[in-house]
Amino acid sequence: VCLCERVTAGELRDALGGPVPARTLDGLRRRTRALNGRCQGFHCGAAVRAAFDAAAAATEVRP
Amino acid sequence: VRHERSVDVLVVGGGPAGLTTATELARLGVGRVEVVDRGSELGGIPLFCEHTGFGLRDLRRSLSGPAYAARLVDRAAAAGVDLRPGVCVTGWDGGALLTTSPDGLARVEAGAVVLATGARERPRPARWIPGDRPAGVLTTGQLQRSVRHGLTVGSSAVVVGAEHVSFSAVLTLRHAGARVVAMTTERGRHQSYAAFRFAAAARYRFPVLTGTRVVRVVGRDRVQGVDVVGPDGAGRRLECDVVVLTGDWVGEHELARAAGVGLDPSRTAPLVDTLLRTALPGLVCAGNLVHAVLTADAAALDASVAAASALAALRTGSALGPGAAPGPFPTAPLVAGVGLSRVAPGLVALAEPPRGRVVVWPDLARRRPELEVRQGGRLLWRGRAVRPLVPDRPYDLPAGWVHDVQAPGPEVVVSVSP
Repeated sequence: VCLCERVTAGELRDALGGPVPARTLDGLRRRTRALNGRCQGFHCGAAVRAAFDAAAAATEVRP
Repeated sequence: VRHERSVDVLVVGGGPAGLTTATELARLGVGRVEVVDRGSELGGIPLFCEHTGFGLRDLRRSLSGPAYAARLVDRAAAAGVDLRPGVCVTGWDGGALLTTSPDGLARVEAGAVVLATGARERPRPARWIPGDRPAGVLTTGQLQRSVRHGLTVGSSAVVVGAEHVSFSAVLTLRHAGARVVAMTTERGRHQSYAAFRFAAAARYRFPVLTGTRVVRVVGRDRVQGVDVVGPDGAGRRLECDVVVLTGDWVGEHELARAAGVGLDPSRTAPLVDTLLRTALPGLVCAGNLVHAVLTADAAALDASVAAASALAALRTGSALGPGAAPGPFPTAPLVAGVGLSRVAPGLVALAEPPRGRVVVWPDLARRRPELEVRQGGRLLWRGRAVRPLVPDRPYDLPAGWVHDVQAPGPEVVVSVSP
């Protein structure tokens, strides 16, 4: 997903869905380095946020 | 397991320049031409620009960005180009390129490589904008991709910069339902066409604040505003919940640099000559990687030169990659002189017939000045600009003087005559 720092969709999924999930976009950024590279989200910003929003929505639905 | 394959020409980057170069090569009879792009869809930046105005100079019609991209992809496919989206080039292995994709790793040998990796906008940290670090500070690229993903972006925006792309950002913001509070530029005027500026400002009613600098971002979790300082030194706060940083482009030159190609004095583009050749045989650069940035159609117009150079490299069959012997052609550096901030490309080589393009970025506004090209004091060309020079708006220079250049030789300087 993040091309500058070479972070894959699987790494984002793990960070968002593990036993201690990242709960903010900034947390996800610090954990995986996604959005932290030379382009600072020019390429991947939207995709990373979409992945985060999807995971956040999924945990809210859970009882 | 690593897959190995071999192609005649590998084009890295599936935007307008890459797709058009690949199409051209396939039409010239090159057997295996492959385009790889790390995005999941081919087409490059136009994919994210819903507004019209694409394809004027290369396809001779006005299309929306995605329609333009689709047409370029169709043309390439029809010409027999092997199109591979979702493939990211990670580096060089001798003369071959290493790639990764959902299908796994691969090593691709190519007779010639065309880098058409495009450009990105300088992000906030690189612009040294102080203040808080809330969410909501984006580049145009991130904004347009977010809107295409269907994400919300905010309700009121300040657009920093006043180039063509800034007006593209305004259209995207409106499309997403956000109000534009103001556009700011440090220059004395906007750098787009007058028609865009007045149409956009009249339709969407926002002021263009010239000579204005953003000095601080304010907001805890979300942007609440920006502090700006105007030409008279007076500061004020603009309330907004999105800040879009536009323009100020840098070429995606990492692969070129990894191969050992130097950068031009602007540090945004690899060193190439007017035929888009690098010092490494078989390595050609095209599009906004070289001239960050021209419009998409202008980037696509690099294709005929890039394709011819790649074809010539194939015929000589020279080795490629880091450590390869430097190209056999002598060059002289091409630099920007008085009145210009940048010139692309950064090298001139003897080229017969003289073709290719030279682009200059003015540093001053002048109605129709004389431009001149000199090498070591010797005048190579002088002529009057055919349209006004505007700071930071690229201007195409005729390149007929290239065959008079002495190469190797001293610096060739392009400048505005006093």
